[in-house]
Amino acid sequence: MKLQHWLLSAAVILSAVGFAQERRKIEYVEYDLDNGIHVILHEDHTTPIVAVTMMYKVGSKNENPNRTGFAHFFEHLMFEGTENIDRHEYDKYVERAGGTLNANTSHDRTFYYELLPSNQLELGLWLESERLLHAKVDNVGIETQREVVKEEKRQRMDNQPYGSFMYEVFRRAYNEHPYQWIPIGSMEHLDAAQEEDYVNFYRTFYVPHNVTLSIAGDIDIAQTKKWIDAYFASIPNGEKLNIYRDKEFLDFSSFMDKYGTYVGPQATASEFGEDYHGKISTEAFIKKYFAKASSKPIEVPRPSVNEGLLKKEVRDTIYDNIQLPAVMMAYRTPELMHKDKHAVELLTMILADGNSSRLVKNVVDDQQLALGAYSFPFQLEDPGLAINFAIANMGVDPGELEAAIEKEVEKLQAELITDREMEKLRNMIESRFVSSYSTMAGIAEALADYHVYENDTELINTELDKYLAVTKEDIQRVAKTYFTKENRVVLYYLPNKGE
Amino acid sequence: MKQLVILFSLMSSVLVGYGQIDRSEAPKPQPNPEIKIEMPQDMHFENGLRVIIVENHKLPKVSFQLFVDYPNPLEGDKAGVSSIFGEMLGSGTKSTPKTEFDEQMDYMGATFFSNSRGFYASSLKKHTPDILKMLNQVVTEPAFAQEDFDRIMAQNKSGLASLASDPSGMSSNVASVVNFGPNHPYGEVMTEETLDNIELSDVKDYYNKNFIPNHAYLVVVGDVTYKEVKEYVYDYFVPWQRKEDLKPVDYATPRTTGKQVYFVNKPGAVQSVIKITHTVDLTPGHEDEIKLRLLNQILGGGSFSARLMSNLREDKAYTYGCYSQMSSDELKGNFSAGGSFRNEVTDSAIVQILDEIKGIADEPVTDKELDLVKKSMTGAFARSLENPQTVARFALNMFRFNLPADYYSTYLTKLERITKEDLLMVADKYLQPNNLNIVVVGNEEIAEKLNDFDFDGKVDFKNQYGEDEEMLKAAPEGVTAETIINKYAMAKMNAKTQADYDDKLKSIQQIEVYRLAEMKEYGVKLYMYTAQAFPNKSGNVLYMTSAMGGQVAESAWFNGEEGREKDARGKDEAYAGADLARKKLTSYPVGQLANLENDTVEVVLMGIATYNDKPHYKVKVVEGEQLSFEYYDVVTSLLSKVESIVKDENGDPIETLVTFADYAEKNGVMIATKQTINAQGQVLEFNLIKAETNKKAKAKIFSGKMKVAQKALVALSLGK
Repeated sequence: MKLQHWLLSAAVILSAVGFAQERRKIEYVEYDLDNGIHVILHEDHTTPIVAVTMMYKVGSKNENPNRTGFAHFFEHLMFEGTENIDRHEYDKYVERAGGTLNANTSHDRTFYYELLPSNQLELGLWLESERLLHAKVDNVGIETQREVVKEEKRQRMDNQPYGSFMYEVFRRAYNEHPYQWIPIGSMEHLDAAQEEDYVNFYRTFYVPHNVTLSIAGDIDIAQTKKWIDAYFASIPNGEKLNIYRDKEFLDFSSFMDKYGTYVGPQATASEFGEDYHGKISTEAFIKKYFAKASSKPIEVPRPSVNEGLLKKEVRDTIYDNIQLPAVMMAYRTPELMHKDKHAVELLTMILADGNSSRLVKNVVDDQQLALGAYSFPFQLEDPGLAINFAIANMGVDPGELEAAIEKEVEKLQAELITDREMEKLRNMIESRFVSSYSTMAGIAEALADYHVYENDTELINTELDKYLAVTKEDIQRVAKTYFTKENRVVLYYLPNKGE
Repeated sequence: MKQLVILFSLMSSVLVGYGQIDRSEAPKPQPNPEIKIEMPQDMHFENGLRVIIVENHKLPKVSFQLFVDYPNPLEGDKAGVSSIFGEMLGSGTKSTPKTEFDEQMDYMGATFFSNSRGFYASSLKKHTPDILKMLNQVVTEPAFAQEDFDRIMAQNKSGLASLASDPSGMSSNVASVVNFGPNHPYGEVMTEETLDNIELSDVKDYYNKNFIPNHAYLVVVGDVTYKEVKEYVYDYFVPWQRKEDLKPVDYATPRTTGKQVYFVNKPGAVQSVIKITHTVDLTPGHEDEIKLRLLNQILGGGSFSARLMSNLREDKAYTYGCYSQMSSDELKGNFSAGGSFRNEVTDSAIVQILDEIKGIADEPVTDKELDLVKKSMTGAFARSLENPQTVARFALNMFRFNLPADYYSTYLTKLERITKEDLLMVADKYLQPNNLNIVVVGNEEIAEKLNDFDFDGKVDFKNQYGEDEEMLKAAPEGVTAETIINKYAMAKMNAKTQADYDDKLKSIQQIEVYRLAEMKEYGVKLYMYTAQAFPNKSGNVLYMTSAMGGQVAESAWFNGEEGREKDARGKDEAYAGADLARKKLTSYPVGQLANLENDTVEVVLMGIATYNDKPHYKVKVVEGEQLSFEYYDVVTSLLSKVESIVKDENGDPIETLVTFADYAEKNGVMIATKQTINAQGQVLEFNLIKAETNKKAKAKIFSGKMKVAQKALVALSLGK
């Protein structure tokens, strides 16, 4: 299915929203439900559509080192249906409503969305609440999606020139931190995993206090809150949620083995059996027999490793099915919340954003050493990377290309950028902020990002100021601090031999 | 500005209560929301320019799209001139050369791109006056600089060279040619020949004749007012001089009788690209257009439930995707269906696609299909309105095609009213299940299986540009691959008879050749030295110079017993195993002799083909996964072309094309004075600098001593 996307692109992580000149504040309402779900609502009646989004704070960094690829795999599995939605029907509900849906997974989070006509908001809420409460995590879906994910890996990584570069860079740039593997993960790990591993993953991470529900569009806030109460506030958490899911997925005897003692004498009464087998709803069943079970959220495990700057340059060569060599340098940069985030990003822009950027103008156009040159910040929740990437022109030695890029980096360390360049950066960043505010889906995702990563939703209105506050001196300072030889991985991509 | 309000006409809906919810059922939708489409009006200026304004004050952004709606001219032997013009239009202006132009666009954080019909530019509102100054220059004084022209021509040349490895590009060329014919602008295809005919003055002429305000629309979208736009236009676009109106021309298209199969050979292909197509008389805004769009969604739209997708992918797993398109056009529209399919199922896939086309033309669609597609199209329409550019596009279409003012505002109502009977009627009227073109790009091994589909019982072979590809003729009795290669060796030594050849092999035992290729767009020069000597000695050095100085990119030597190879990536290996065994075979005076001695190589004469208007023997050489075709001139016996295909580790073919031309006698042997190497679209043209021969094999390089050869190349590069 082409519905789910695994993100190669750094752009999504960067997506940010705001204003400078003639700034208009983005209004929103946010609150927590009792079960821990965070809700953000933005009302805009320009077009009769609504974006319903769910951001789960689980990405490849939450995976077990011998079960990599799970977070992304789950994104696929979450389209396989739920207790109330038959297999292969999930997307058809949306299509019949005239909407569209998709999802993607990064190192840090998994993001699902539906874009619907606004009169179908309730459908979107139902679909997402089904996914959270009781998705189908069983062998049939696992088998199907394993094959689909393998095709996806072939298409995006194996069959794409330089398609493996994220994999090759990240595995060398981290020693301890789970960023050392990428979201697509290992096919062997996915093959080796059992149904139980998947069920455990679902129960650990697909829980109410680990998700943010962000909605933007043609909505009525009061009405929307009522529906959210009905579909989401009613979802239990903690031990209660586990019992709820067991009740629907286990057969009677397994359920009795697990909970017989807990329920006590009532469990042997025939009424219990009838209730279990559907005489009353699962909600009513839990209320009747498990009223005292704990609703306390169970803590979601997070990696605690924190790798600082690299101590020694790592250098390697990759042979791939490509025509032209490529050079990439990946520098460790600070975490998203760090004060240097904005300056690092502007540094990558001065290097390679636009035809007049340093690398494009000097290395690509003037010296004609490269077919193209790129620089992008891979800013993650924990310390991330900034990557310079250039594809050599035919006949150009990668060493020569590296030296030319290095010269540009050294220039940025030695000299301040010009005033005009500084102004250009501000204009570009401003233009980017304005444009990313143009769709409901973009706003919903940005609101969720700011809450999930930085616990400060208001950044949607204030982050641009932080970019505009960066000085020429800041850019020089971060170039000196992070773009050092010790703090990087250098990779050469070279063509395979003909045979 | 008038405002039209229409109802979102999905379906009559029911209000449901909330509170206790039933999770087992999907919730019902709320009443349909209103969709507002504000259709803008246009302004007319004295130079003929029409301006459309879509005000949208949500974001402080303004975009300008210029569309010059001149009638499509025939480009003839300069086919491709329009697209070269389009690229030139974005490459700087007389007052602002390209580098400066790029810098200023970046400085504003603006977006800009151009094509043969105009441009699209967008920036924050505060930069509007600055960007307009630049746009005025683009329109009235494009730079048309020679260096930009050279760069763009070189890029297009590479593009054409890579066409042979692009099956979709070939398929679309052939479909254009067979659907529209040579006397229609849509049937014209840019080839190496037509590209070579284009000169900078043609681009200027094209601009002068066609790029005129009296055929142009300027579409302004964003945070602007009517008054502001009026001032902008007076300042920046009214000075653009009006010229003589251009009259639209009617072009005839050929009629397709029966099913016609066209095949393009792509050696080594593992998939066939199938396109089943015919033209349709459907103009934009015609009342049947929405019905046909709906019909096409059911047949081959993007959804998994569309018929082609559900049959050929979900059910039969022939493909990753199978789709159909139906397009309207002022001159002539067209219909097509197809996708990429594994070799083995190519014929079965054609059967299924034809069945589906016939099926939808013969039988009414189901209520369920109709309902699903209406709903998804309604939703897609509503969602598309989020982008203000959608309304701008609607407005532009409205004015260009003279559509009724309520065309788009009543779109959903029209969609909702469509019945199964309507669809059957338009299917019958527009689809031609029995008269269509079947274009297949694939491995020639499957071509024969396609004869049955063809009305005349015979597939027509085409090249990548849609030109007729002639069939191989049989070679005369007694001619074999072996006689051809032996005659080539004789011809190379400029020998008329066997005795003559034997003498020559004694008197000339060494040939040294120096060639030069220039890659102007990169400022790189490649000097190539090759030496060969009786019976199997060889050596070569590739020396490269650029702005950064000179260096040896590759070198190799073999002394008859041992040798090694070095490249720029640090590879430095001695010949061993099969490579060594191969090097030891006879390779003087031509390397092909070794193939005749080698048991693991299969050499077969296929027949006589035409290359460069001359008859050539086509010889197939197979060694393991490696496949190549050699073309020997029937008259001169010399080698003219080698096409080779090597499989990489994923099984994908890597193609290389080497040509040899303008042979001349040099110091007793025949040498190609022009040699081109085209590796996956990267083209190098080598010209002969000099060729020397010697009685004895004495070049130092044969024993691994590179210095002499290197010195000679350095001297050449310094012009000595």
